[in-house]
Amino acid sequence: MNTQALCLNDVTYCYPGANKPALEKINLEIRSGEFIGIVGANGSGRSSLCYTMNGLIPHSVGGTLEGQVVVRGIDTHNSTTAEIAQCVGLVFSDPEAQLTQLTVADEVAFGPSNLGVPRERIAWLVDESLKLVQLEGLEKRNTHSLSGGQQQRLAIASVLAMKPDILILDEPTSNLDPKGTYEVFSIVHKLNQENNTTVIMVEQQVDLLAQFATRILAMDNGKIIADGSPEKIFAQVELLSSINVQIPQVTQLFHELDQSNIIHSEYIPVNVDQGVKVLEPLLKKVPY
Amino acid sequence: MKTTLYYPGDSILHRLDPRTKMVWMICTMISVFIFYNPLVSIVMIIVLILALLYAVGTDIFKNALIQFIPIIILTVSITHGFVNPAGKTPILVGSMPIHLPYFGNMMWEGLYIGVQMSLRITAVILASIILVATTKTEDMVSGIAKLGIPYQYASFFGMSLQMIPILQEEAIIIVQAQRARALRENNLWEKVMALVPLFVPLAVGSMQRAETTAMVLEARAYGAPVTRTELRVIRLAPLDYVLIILFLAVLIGLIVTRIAYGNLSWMDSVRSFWGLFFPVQLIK
Amino acid sequence: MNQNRSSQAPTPDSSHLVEVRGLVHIYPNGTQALTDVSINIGTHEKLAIIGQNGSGKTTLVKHFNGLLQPSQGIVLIRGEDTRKKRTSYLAETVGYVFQNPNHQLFCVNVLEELRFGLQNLRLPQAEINRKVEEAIEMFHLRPYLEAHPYSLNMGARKLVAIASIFAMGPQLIILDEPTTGQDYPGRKILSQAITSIYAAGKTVVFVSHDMVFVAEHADRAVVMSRAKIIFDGAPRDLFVRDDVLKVADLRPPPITQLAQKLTDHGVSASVLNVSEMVSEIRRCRL
Repeated sequence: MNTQALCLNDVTYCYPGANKPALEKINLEIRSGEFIGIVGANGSGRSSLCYTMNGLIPHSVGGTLEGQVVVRGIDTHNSTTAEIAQCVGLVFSDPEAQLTQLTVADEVAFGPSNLGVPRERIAWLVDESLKLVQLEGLEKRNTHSLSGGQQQRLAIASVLAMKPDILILDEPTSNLDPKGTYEVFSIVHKLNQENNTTVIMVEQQVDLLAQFATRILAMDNGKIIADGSPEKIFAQVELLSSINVQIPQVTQLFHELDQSNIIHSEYIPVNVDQGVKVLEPLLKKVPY
Repeated sequence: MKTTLYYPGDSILHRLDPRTKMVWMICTMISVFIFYNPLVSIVMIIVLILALLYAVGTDIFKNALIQFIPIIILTVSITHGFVNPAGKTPILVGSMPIHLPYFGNMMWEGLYIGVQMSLRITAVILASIILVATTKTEDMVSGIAKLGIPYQYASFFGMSLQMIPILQEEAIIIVQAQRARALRENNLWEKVMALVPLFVPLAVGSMQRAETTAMVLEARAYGAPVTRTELRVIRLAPLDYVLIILFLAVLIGLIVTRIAYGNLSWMDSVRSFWGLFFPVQLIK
Repeated sequence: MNQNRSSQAPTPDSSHLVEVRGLVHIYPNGTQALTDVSINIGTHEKLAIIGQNGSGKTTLVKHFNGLLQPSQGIVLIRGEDTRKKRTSYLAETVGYVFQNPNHQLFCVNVLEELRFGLQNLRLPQAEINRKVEEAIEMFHLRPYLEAHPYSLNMGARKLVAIASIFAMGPQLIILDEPTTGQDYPGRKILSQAITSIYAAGKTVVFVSHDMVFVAEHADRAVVMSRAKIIFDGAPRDLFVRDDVLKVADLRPPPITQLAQKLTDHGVSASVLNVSEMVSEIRRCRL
């Protein structure tokens, strides 16, 4: 089912008072069920792009937004953030700053109660959302007593409770330890696979993105420089280096193997398993 | 590190409607200003302390604000003792007055006024603590909203309350960070100057957090033009009605007493330490 | 869990820069953050302290400059007991760069920031000027001296924080989670900073869970889990210790993981970085 989830047409955006655009002539089409990773250095426009997708730009942040952002057929110029929040959920990078309520259950219930959803349905939504992020049983816990990974999963749950089918995450793991990072990626991957949730994730962890994402957007200076599968994008080593984006270590390896004339491979692996598949047939077999 | 001002529990005080406790707080605050003697404040303070011990237990004495109260009482009382213009009768220890250069002698009348004021402040502080310590923030927000104030403003109040422990934690980290730059805090002057490297990071952090919170609220459809679903049902129970009537009755009683008998001050006859707090001359 | 060391057990020897013996730390709320921790750190090392959040790593390093005091055990800095000295005194020997530079920066421009720590140490003006110049040169901060610290991007701000601590002249500099929240250019700035500090003859201790960065920069890795040190040795040796990695919930860098899946083909299991892997592949190629 490849229906269109999100579409940006010729979008250019300037923050209030800025003379240089944060986003320039963005054209982008996102289909349901994709898992998109957005990479780029700080200041390249990644967060701004996320905010246009859920209406924070232009409604909360202000500034001038040219072009069209269409979410599930609705133009964001003509709708409110509250309406869009039911199609698109946004998770921010600071786990603590996102939590506005005292208990876990209240945090998940916050969004739906703002929308006037009846109380019985909210109770059901809280149950279901906490199960989806594997936090069931923690309803009465104080939100600030959770670990970073748990807090981010809670943020995801509170977004899911409004039943969007598009989930945007802006550097969700930057303040987390490896365990928490892995928790977030696993949950997001599961939602994408089992519930067909469209995932858009801004991340620095290119190794993990290369493992889970189906499509990568590389940004620089407010523009989308490259758009394609992880294999296609991360193979463009010089381009990514020029826009200050890291590549997965495995890809770096194959780039150097190629440059040193040790191994030339048509297919450039971007993660460990792919790397094993390509290298095994090319190496000696050491008998026991 | 405590993350809220609220002390979880299940006492009768915890179960009261937040509006009842708000009425208690306001009645206490008005009552202590009606008379010009410390007795009313002392009674209120004793009741509040007993209530706090019942609701929270001895943990309440670890609260920074509670620990600050004796300092307030001492500072305010002694200052007024020396500088208040109503002072006429010097306090004598043996036959020596208590004298400070430039400030003069400590006077009974001034000390009386100082004790008065500090007890009033103490009662007000304790009344607010009772409210905040036994009421969950979200219940308080609901209570304020039910009193007619629009939900937006009520929830801002709730969020500000929640910010206090977060700011406390952040302040501790910032102080540690600046100590690592050999910040000195050896004397009072240095301690005051040390507030500058604390203030800027704290302010910047608060503003950044406020910005993120604003965006998060929007992204969670806060402020949508629909009626919010009330998650908590707070209702006034019979006990709430009884207590509210009781508090209002006491307040009205005190006001009537004031009108009939004046401000009940015994400032002019204070001549002993206990006389500052109790009308000892009546017992004689 | 046995400690795995590439050197002998620590002996009381006040020639160490940092000496920790039997350290226990219990927070006021009752949490025991450190249990019987002992470690020695020399005057010229590059050491990484690794572990999940809550393992005790930040608690441990905060003892080095007296921000935290031992509940039991002893911490000696250049042979002096930290319980007997203030942080403002210890800061001359142990510098601590906090994770969020915003927590340390507050002056009107970068130059003032660099001078702040030195002014607190009450050094003579001539020496202050000299040390500030040294820091400006080492971290290439000349173009930014007039700028307000908050007008710089995160990577530059981090560098200013590091420089202002370095300027104080400590022998040991602690970096708390330096790469958290940094983008690629930010990481490059940090790598350069660590290399410069080490080249200046100092010890760098960085607290991190970024295994790629650890493999790149640390000569020695100390792994903590649940308030204890469970490993102390070379990163190369750590990456083959599955038992330690499992307990600490850590995984080796992706390139090392790749090497470890190809050991049947003669590839070494303790590859640290891409260039080592290239050599291995060259060696094992059919």
